[in-house]
Amino acid sequence: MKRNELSLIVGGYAGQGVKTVAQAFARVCSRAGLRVFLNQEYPSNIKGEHNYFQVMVAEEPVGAHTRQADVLLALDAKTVNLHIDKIAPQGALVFDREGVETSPIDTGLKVGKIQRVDIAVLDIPFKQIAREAGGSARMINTVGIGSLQGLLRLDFALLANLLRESLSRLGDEIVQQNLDAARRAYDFARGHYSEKLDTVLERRQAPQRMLISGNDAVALGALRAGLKFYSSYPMSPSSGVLSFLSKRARDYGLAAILTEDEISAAGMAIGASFAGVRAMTGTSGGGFCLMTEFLGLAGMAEIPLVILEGQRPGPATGLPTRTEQGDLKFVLSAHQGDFPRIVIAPGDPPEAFRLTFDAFNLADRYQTPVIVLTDKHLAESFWTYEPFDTAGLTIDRGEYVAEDELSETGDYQRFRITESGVSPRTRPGIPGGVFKATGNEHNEYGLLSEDADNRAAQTSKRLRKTTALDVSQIGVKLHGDPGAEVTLVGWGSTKLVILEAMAFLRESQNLNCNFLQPIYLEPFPAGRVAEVISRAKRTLLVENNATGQLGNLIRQKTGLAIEDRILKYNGRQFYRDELAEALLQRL
Amino acid sequence: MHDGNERTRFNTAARPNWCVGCGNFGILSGLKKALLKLELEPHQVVVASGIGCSSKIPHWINVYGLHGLHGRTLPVATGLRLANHDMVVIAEAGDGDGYSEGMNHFIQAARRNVDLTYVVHNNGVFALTTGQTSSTGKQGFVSSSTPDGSIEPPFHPAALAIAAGANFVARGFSGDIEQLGELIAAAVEHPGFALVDVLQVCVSFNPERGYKWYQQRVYKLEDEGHDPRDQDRALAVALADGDGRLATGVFYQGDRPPYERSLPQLRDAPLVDHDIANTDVRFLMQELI
Repeated sequence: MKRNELSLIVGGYAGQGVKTVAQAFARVCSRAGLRVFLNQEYPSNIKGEHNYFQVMVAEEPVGAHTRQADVLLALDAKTVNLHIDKIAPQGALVFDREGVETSPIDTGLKVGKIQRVDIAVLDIPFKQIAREAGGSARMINTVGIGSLQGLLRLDFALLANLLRESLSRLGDEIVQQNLDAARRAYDFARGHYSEKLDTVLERRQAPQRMLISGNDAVALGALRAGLKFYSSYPMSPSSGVLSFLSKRARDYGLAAILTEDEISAAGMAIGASFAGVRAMTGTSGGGFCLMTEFLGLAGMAEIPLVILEGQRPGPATGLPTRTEQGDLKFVLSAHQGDFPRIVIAPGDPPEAFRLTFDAFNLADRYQTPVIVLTDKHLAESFWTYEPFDTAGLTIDRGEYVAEDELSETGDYQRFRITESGVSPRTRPGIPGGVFKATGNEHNEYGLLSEDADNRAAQTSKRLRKTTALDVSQIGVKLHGDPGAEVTLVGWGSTKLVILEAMAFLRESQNLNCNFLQPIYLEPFPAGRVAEVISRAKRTLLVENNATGQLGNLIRQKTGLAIEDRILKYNGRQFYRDELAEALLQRL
Repeated sequence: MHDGNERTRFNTAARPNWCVGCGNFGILSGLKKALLKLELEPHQVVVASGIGCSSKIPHWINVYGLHGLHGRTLPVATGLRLANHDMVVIAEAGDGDGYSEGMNHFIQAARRNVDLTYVVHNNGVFALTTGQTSSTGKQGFVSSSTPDGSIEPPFHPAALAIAAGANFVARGFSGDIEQLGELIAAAVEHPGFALVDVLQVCVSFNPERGYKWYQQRVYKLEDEGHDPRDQDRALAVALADGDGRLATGVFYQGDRPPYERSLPQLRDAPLVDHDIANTDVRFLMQELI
């Protein structure tokens, strides 16, 4: 009997509410004091196509998913056929044999003959239960989650509370019907299939935890940093940030604007930042293509700008709702000419929160664009964390020129050549501070200048700014034993799966690995990275892209080549057991 | 850096490098006239512009200026205005800039109705790139890009603005500074998006349409009893701007409330004046539990 350890797949067709079931179940488990990881696999489609969600539950932090599931909850026929082979031996298939639904785009599709004898097939009449509860067949998602809770013998009160909270806006009758349906399903599952499952979930005493995605964490970090302006055009996987912020815009006193395109999204953010507020725009690789002209304007006119780039597989439309780390090379070099930029890549929600917060300080301090690089896996997966500690976070708006100084001299040089390269700024509306900013080369006043010496001086000044940013410590993390036999190198959202594969190898194979995670990709912590790699006994690169973009960057910055590479680029994140096996094969 | 002189406070030490006789001089004078009429101080105004001869204008007027990207002045101006609605925000563009490259932003700004004044220096030609036909250039126009004469007819920016929902649509002429100053001042005073399309002389690349050519054709709508509240009539006038008579003045003015008025978060103070030192997100994190 397994206690508080579960891998669950919930599948169905888009429009059935499969996501609702998975997210509600994940939240219930989190509220039960357990740790959860929720991976979402869905197509670029509104209704009809197959989508499935995997929920990992454990008592210890869980950050990645496995290829196998203990339980497959199938809300339609296709899910049974597609995923039955993923069920672990002694696991269970849960579905409504009589009333099983079929997606409108798969008319005629039937559940194939179930060949497996090593799993339990638990037939629960979802549709019938939904009808008995007085609801429509649509309520099978509530029935599905009620059944799950019953099978896993998890306290029903947790589900009842969640249903009341999330459905209250729909009125008492709907709430009551759903509660009734969930209860009937729970009782049916416990009554008919008591102890059919090899797994139980029990409440644990634990601090309250959030069920939080990377997108949520980015939005929270931005709000904590004093974000006043967010302009964006919807694009997976970053659209969640726009909805999060739009919903809170009035309460938090910010403007969250849906623009006509990504060009406008970047332009509005630049205008707002020039006016003096903290501004951000968010997109994915395709939208970032459109923003690149403004990226250079922010660099040239020295306007702070924070850009969220949530990667998805490209080029062009690629796989709109899947994951990849394919844009690193692009964000590092986007736009013509030389100017300073900062690129940071969080690996999990706490890093996404903290680094997004930091991004605003960096943008203000160095008056230049800062790109927060996430991907679909980080942006749209959920993990459980205690609320982040916000106490020690300090806002730094960078160098401003004092207002009294401005009115006294009346001769303000916005782009004054300074030793640090940073010129104290002001903002429109301040008497005596009138200046021009421009994407043309300009003199210290911001006026057009084609003078050769001035061009060189201003270019050097701009490039000098970020040389003060020391990333040797903050820019890279070495997880695990510094003297380990193997050093894994990766970045961004593969962090948690790499850490779990490492833990697995240590426990099962007594193989000791460590993990080098560059967090700042520009400026790059080349010295520290070179030091770790050159001391490593064995180095392996792990990336979710086809060409090993971080590996290439490391080679460019340090001259060190990592020959052993594990690259996955089918639009899906590594499974932890898949990665562990791939590592073992190489070692 | 103005010398304290009431009439010259918007002048700069730097001098425009436009061609002698360029219509941009008239537009610059009209703009200064409007700001003086409105009794504004230099620090209360920001001029955002795109790229082109006309878009160099922020460098030669003593107000805050952001000289940005070709076609993209309106998004920048929108962000500026929403972040600090105490500022008077004026967006300047040329026809190549605003009516070709930046057309989508123009339509969307008219629809969105953020309180901006959009002054378009419309001379029918790409001048700084040495004379290609723009999207308001006349059909048959012979230029380096259309040696056999332009095939495409021009479109009608004032009509398009009205159709897109703009509530202040006017046209001036770079040769009538007095009227232009009045129009820009009225546009600034109008709450919401305001277009001032300016018939502009380009002495170098569109000399056929010189001052005399325009003077023979322009007339003032108010002299003919035009009612700017009459949207149908305004649209008809805006569409009738071929080689015949050219209307100037306010084509249309409505009273649709500006975008800003629907944002309660702007009510107490401009966003730029909000205190951001300690934004408390703990409650939000509780919501995620």
